[in-house]
Amino acid sequence: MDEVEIKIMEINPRKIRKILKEKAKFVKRVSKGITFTQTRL
Amino acid sequence: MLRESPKELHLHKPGYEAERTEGKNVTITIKGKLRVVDNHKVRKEINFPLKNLKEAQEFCDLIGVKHTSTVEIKREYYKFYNCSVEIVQWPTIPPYMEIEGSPSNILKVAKLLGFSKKDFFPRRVEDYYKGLKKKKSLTFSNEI
Repeated sequence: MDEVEIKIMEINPRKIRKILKEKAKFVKRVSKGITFTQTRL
Repeated sequence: MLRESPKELHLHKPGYEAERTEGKNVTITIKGKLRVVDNHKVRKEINFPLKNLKEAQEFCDLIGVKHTSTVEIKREYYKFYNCSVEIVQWPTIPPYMEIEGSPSNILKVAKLLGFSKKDFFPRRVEDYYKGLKKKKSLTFSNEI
């Protein structure tokens, strides 16, 4: 299935979080994840 | 090397990418070639779980990919109009937001959060901050 996604860069997280806490459902907080990048040999 | 701690894996080659997402279990996501349609990032994805990072490393070895860089990422997930909204924080760069869903719902959510279509960036973080491509390791502990 195709995933459709956009990014909005350089946000003010406090402002966004305030709106989301009023209107959206909080799902989870992942305090820290580690991303590994791999390249085909 | 992959480390036994949480928890994402990205596999890259031109037109092909996979990642493992955070959580107790390891998930590898194979991502198809990125297309930009109407300022949205669109691509096919296939996810499958693996037991742990060791198994993920073995999988990567088997398909012939090697580890190139590590990035620590903090994420907060919200559900809003059938969209997944994430506040994402990488070391050294300002926070950004990802919205995933149908194009109409993405636009609706973006407007409610004070943004418009012109604010959409439909590519990878490394395409926005070109200097990040050269970093082998980005962790919060290394942040100045």
